Amino acid sequence: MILLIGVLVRQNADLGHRPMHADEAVHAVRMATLLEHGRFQYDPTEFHGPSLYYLSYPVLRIQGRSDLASFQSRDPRLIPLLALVTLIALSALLIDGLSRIGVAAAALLTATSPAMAYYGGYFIHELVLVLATFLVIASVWRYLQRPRLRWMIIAGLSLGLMHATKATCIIAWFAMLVGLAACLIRPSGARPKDTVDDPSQPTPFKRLHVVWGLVAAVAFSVVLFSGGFTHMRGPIDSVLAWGPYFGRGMGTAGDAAIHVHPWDTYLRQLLHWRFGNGPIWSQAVIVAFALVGAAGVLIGRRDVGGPNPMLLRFLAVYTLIMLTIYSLIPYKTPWLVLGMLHGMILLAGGGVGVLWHLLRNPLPRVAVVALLLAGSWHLHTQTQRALSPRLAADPRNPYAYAHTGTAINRLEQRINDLVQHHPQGRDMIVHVICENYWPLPWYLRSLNHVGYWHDVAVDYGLETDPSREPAIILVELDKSETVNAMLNRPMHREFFGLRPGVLLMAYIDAELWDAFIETRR
Amino acid sequence: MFDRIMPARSAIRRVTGLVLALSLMAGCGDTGATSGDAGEGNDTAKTASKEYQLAPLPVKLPEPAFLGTPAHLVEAGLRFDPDAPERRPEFLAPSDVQNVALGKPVTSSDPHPIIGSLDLVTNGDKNARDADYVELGFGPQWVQIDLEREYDIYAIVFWQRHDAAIVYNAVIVQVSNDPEFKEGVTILFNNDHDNSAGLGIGEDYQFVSNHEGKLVDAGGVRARYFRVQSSGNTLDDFSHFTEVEVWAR
Repeated sequence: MILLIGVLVRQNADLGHRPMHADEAVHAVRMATLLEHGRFQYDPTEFHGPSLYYLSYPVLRIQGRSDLASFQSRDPRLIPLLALVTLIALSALLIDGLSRIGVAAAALLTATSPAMAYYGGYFIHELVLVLATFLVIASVWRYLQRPRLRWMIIAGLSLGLMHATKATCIIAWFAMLVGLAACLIRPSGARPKDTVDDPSQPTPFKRLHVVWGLVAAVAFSVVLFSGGFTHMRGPIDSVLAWGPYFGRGMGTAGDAAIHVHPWDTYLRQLLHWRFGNGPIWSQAVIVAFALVGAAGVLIGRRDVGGPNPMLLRFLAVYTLIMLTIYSLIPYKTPWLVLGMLHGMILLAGGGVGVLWHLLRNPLPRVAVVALLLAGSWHLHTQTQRALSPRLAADPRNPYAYAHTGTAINRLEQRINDLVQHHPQGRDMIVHVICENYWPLPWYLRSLNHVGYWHDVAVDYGLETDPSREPAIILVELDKSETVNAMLNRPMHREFFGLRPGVLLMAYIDAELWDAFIETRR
Repeated sequence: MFDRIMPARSAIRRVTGLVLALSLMAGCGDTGATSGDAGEGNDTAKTASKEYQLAPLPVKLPEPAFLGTPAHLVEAGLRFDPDAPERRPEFLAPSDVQNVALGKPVTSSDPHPIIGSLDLVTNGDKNARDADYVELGFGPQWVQIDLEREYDIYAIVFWQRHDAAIVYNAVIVQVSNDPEFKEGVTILFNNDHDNSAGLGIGEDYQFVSNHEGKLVDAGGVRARYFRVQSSGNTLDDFSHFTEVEVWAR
């Protein structure tokens, strides 16, 4: 497992090379507010829960970061990577449920999955949610093996963490409840004696323990949403947030319509994905072993030492419900696959365990392990490809969704160059006019006077104090004609790209450009 | 007024075809008459002594393919050149010019493209399909075509990726008789306005790559080797080439 974590960390070693996605930039700027002012205010209409920021706080402090300007893109990305590493390490909590080889297989598949590795370096909430969800499952499993209060408290805290991470936790809760219910159903015709003697049957929950678990869940969530009881509206808003998120899920709220995709998007992403002439991507090996794990519900037998059929049944139902709900919801982004994917990975681990214990002869066992290793290698090569500088932000990469193009680096470099030639340096004035200007606030974070507008709101034709005129105006292309018509001073123009389909026209003060270009002759 | 670094060169180019026609007419007496062929083996003196008809360059355009991209991006790109018309006007060239690049060998600064192959550049297919372009690596990258003998080149049309609104950086078009492009190099187009490629500051316009391709007036320059390069684009750091046509005789 240490080896796996080492490989994972190594392939994510250069967390900073990939441009910041607009969502990452939003979270980084909000994170900076917490760092600079020491408090966080939950917004129920956007941005998800506060857990990502509170988890990031100590990590960034340890790195000596105190404000946005001091951030590097790799800094906040450490947090999801740590979540992924923790997820792999804690797989061991299911060792008596999936079997030793099953847990090893699950850890291997988690570490090599390209989706997991890619979003393991992505400053968004998803991997924190996956980790919290796993902690709920694992701690309840441990509780069922030995009903100690501490496991129920951990489960409760993890439930609270899920809630404080993303409103979509409600889907995982529902899937877990259905999975649990499926485990409690007694097979028809089974005598009471069968279930009593069957060690795979769960130990009954103790009512008091459950109550304490729920108290822990609510308390933890309230503490996080209220910012340590400084913003008591937060916990209420966290519940009201499900309204707007329902609208977003249906693709009707805000800009959600652009994220509406066909029902089979996640299945295609898992089984076979190809964009244009790009490479083929597939995590079919996980799906295949997961199907074996699901079959293990029927054929698994506790008395032969294989994976626990009850746990397999839970994982199979949980994963199926997750896949079904997320497929039915019109709103889709590729990172939402992580929740169901991790369920599949655990189930796949169970599948490997089932095969291992079913096939007693050495040769078939070697074949199973060889198949697992070959499949993992296939996943690993895709991970390398997904994280490579060439494809890390490319639309042909299924995990790079509406990603900021690498061309943003050219814009950042240009502005840094121009700053060197402007008499006011980083105090020079920059205007940004763009419907969705993110992640520009991240890339312009070192400048002190940047104004952002969704539409043209300044009359650039008016005579003003030259010291208040913008040195650079970045305008979304379809708004540039309006700016063109207004300008009454010479400005150099050049194109820059923000993300696929979004071009910016940069207007640069002519004197500033001349000063810069003199150094390039 | 705002195009202080952009000279009138582009406007001059647009009438070059007409100027060429008038000058040839003036020099050859019987306007509109043709005599002799312009096949292989003609030398410059012979060429200069002949009379030509001018005709619009017979470029066949692929289907527009801005998949899901608003048309205003194309229009805005064209408007970046304040004098640019909605569509490219016909370009007049001697009526016997041919696309001499078709099927000719292609080399590149990135000899092992990850996506596509170099032969795509001269295979005659200029559609916007993903399988029709070659993708070269980071930084300034070029493709070079050996025309296999010297030609009088009148126009060059090249297509980069045109399935989305993309602007390529530092586009430079050169011809030479030196395969190394060290001597006798003529730069026909250069919009590298910050000299990122190190070949000098270019003063041509940036442009949105679209299905019309980019037409460069070569003015009858005589050369054997052709090279076009770019340095990333507004989406990523790569250069793509779909097709290159060299119209010459």
